[in-house]
Amino acid sequence: MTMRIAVASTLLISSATIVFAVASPPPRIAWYGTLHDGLDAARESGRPILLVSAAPHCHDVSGIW
Amino acid sequence: MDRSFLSSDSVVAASREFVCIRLATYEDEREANFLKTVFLGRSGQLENTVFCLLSPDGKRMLSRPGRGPSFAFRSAAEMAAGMNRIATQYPSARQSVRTKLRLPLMKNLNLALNVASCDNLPLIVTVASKQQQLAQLNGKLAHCAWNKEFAGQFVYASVRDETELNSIDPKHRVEGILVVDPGPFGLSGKTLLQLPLDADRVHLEQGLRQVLGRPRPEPMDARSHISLGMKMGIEWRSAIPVTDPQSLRAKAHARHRR
Repeated sequence: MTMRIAVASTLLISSATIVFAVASPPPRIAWYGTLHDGLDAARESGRPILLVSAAPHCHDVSGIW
Repeated sequence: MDRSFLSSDSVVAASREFVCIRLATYEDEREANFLKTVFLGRSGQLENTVFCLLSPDGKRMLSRPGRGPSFAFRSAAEMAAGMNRIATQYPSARQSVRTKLRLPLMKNLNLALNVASCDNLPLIVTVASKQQQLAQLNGKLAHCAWNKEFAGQFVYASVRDETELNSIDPKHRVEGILVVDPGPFGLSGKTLLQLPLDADRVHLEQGLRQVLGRPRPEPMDARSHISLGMKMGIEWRSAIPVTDPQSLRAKAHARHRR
C-alpha cells in the first residue's frame, strides 16, 4: 500500500512538473531592441546597461544569430 | 551570440537590475557608430558581435568590452556575480519606480520577424493607422511586456501602414494586436492570435499566456539552418555593409563552394 502511494505520488509530481514546463517557458533577458529606447530607459531609471549586439544572419542566411 | 552566458538563470536574474539593450549589428548606421566606440576587433572594423556593461548614460564602460561576455567573464556565474556587484553601486535605481514603461520595439517589422526567428520566440505586432491609437495600444501592451510572466518572452514591432503586413499570413487588414509565428528564417510569419484595438488587459494577458503555452518546434542546428537557407536561396541584406573580416571570408568561401 505504502509502495502504491509512493509510486502514485511520484507519477503525480512528474506529471505536474511536465505540465509546468510546458506552461512556463524559461526566464529570458528582456531586451530593448533599439539604442535610442534603451539609452532613454537607462537614463530615466538610473540602471546600468547590459549591451549586446549581434548580426541576425550567418552567411547571409537570416533567422540565426 | 554566446547563449551559454545570456541564457543562464543567474545572468537572467541579474539582468532585471539592468537596462538590457540588444542591437542588430549592421541594421542602423547610428547604432553601428555607437558600437564602434565600444569595441573594434583587431581588424579595426565593427565585427558581428559586441558586448559591454555600461553606466546608465552609456558613456562609461563597467566591464571589459569584447565580442561577447567571455571577453570579460570566465563563466556565467562570474558574469552574474559581476552584474550583481555593479547593481549595488546604483542603489537609487533599485528604488526608482518605472513610471514610463516603453514597449521594447524593434526598428521595423522585417527586422523584428528576423530577430524573433533567431530567438525562436513569437512576435507581437501592434497595428493602428493613427499615431495616438498606436501609442495607446503600445502603452497597454508595455505593462504586459515588463511583468514577470511575459518579460523577454516576445519580440515587438509596430506598424501604421497595413501594407507592411504583406509578409504575414493570412493577409490582415485590421487594426489591433497580432501575435505571429516568425517561421524558421524570419522572412514571413503566420498569425497565431489576433486581438482588437480595444482588447482589455485581462484578454490580452490570457491571449499571450495561451500563445506561450503552445509547444514550439525545436530550431534546426546552425549548420543545417545555414545549409538549408543557402539551398533555398535565402539572402538577408543588412541595412549597412557587413565589415567583420572573418564573416566576409567565411561567406565568400561558402558561396564559392556552391
